[in-house]
This record gives sequence, structure tokens and C-alpha cells, in this order.
Amino acid sequence: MGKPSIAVIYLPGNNCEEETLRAVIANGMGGDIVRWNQEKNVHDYDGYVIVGGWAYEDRIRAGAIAAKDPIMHAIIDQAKTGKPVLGICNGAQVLVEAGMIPSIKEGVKMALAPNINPLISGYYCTWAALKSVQSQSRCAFTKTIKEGEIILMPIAHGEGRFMTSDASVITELESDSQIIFQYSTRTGEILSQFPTNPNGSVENIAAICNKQGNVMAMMPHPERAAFVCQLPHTKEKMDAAGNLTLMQQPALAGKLFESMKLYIEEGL
Amino acid sequence: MEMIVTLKIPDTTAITAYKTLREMGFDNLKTLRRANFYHIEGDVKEEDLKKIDVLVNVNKNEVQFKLEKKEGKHYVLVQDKEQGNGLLNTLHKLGLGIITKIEKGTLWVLEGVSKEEAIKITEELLANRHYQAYKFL
Repeated sequence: MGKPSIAVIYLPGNNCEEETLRAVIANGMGGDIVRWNQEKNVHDYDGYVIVGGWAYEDRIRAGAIAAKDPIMHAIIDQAKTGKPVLGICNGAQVLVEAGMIPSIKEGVKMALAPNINPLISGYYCTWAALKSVQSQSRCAFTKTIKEGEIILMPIAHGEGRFMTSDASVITELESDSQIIFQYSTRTGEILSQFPTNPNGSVENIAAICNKQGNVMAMMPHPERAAFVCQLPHTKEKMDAAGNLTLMQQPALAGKLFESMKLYIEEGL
Repeated sequence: MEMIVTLKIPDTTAITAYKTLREMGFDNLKTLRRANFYHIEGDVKEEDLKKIDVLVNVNKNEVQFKLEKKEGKHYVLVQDKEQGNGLLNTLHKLGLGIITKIEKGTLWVLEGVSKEEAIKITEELLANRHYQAYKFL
């Protein structure tokens, strides 16, 4: 098998496609930016990333129109065969509104609702610490991420609060181990209060996978923390200061893409 | 009091929603219109509300204070269940402390479909019932 080839799906109004493709390539895969209206055969790709931004201007609400875009029919079909699909930020909103998260077959069971934040109403951006809370084998995007590992990634959203009106959904997410990352402190404590939980997500959810583990919706941006030069003032960044080679090395968030590659090659 | 703010320029959100619904198979949908709907409490006059530019842009919007319903149309109000205080805080910062409560929603006006279809349209696209509620006016 050659290099896995990833379709970085670009819907009108998205803005994260270039850096997402860069992160895909830096972690050993090939890929293309695939526009929503291209004739290209979406089925030919080994995996998919639905990127961040404001697809269809968030008309009606974030992800609502994009979830109905014809390209999503193809992606849903490919996800059912087990191919990996990662939704980042707006991509996560699309997956939730399309009913692919929490599970492909069961309709729209959740929402990414407006943030609850004591400081600011609406759009909020900050660095967040994400704690991996499942085993490496649970999900296509955590095969190289140990349980308990903490990864810094930025968030930048106004509607990032995972929630549901159906309490049984949360019970099922917990019993099926579908909550993959939770917002935590940098030392790994999962505190429900702001600022540890930056948007009021139920159970501090930052990322959820589907039952099969091949589809994941996450609000933080791994493509914006995939290289050392993108990080905030951490020890890793300070140690690399002045050294271009070190600055361009992959950072921890790149492991999501590295895991995606391993999943395509080996399965879960 | 209620204030209904519509666009007098093309409403690209309503146009996109209409096209999406037609592609979803709602072929009977003849028109779809949208308005910002506010429920406002406080000792404030209608003429003064029209001048609040975070609510009304006189270049783009028209304002009504009474919903005039027409035969053959369904009027669906979609609101976030949790309204928050962001808009009220903004109005207070602008010196409008006389407004004691404001709730915002989107009023969708559907023509050409049955009540059952209007419900389906609302539940499949116009509202996410996990954090939004809807009612027919």
C-alpha cells in the first residue's frame, strides 16, 4: 500500500484547509483539498478531514446547511465502510448536524450549542489542554496517543458546547467510551468550571468518536498546534527558540494525523 | 412587546434555507421568509426601539410591532432555550437600562406546505431541538 491519501474537504466559507493539508502531509500522508462541488471521485480517498471555518456562513446555525451538502452523502457512505473521518471545529458541527456523531445511524442526537462563558458572549479563542481519556485502540485518531496524555490545542469558536437534551445519550457515550478528549488543566485535572472548561461542554467534552471509532468530531484545532512553531510559550517551544529545524518539528497535536495514518494502514 | 425585524434587501440565509429544503425533497415549499423576532420588556416606546442600531439597521431592515398573519402560511418561531444575557448587557452598556428583558428568536414564514410538512421542515433543518425550541404562532 502506498501513502494514504486524504481528502481535506473544503466547503464554501471554510478557512482552515491549507494548514490542515500541511498537517496531513507532515505526518506521512498525501492528500488534496477537495472542494464541495468538484467532480473528483471522493470515494477514491482513504480518509477525510472536514475543516474549520464558517461553511455556508453558518446560515441558520453552524453546520446546518453544510450537513445537507451533497458531498456529505458520499462521506457518510465512506464512513460506513470504516474509513476515518475527522471533523475539526466547523467540521465537528457538520458531523453533529449530519447525525454522524455520536453515531452514524441514529439521527441528530446532540448539538454544538452557543458557548457558556462567564467572560464573554459569543466567539472565544484560547489555548486549551485536552486530556486523552480512552485507550489508544478506541479511536482512529488516538492510536499513538496514550491514555492520560495531555495535548495543547487552540479553540476558536462561538458554538462549541457539546450538549444534548437526551440524558441517555451521555450515558451511552460514557458506557461506549466515545468521549475521547476532555478539557482539563495542564496537569490533567478535569474541572467543570471555566477556564478549564472554556465553553460549558457537558462532561468537559472536547472530542467524541462514533461507536465504531472511525469518525471523530472535535472542537479544538489540531492543525494549529501540529508544529512546534505554532505552540504557545511551552518548554518545547522555548527549547526550540532560534532553531528553525526544531521549530518545524511536529508537535503533539500532530499525533492525531499520525494515528489516522496508522489506522488506515492497520485498523484499530 | 414584540418587534419583528425583516430584511428589505435579499435574505441570503432564507434563500439558502429554501434551496436546501427543495433539495431535501420539500417540493411543495413555495416561499420561505425569515425575520429576527424580539420579545422586549421595559418602559420603552416603539419609535425608540426602531433607533437601536444593534437591533435595526435602517438601511437594511424593516420593522413591525404586530405580526399580521396571512392565510396559507405557517409562522414558526425558533428560539434558543437558554437566552443568556449578552444582548441585554449590550443594550445596557449603550445606555438602554430601561429595557429589563429581551429575548431573541428567528421567525420563519413558510408558504405552500401543510402543517405536518412545516413541522418536518422545522425539525429537520430550521431548529436543533437539543438547544432550541420552536412554536407555531
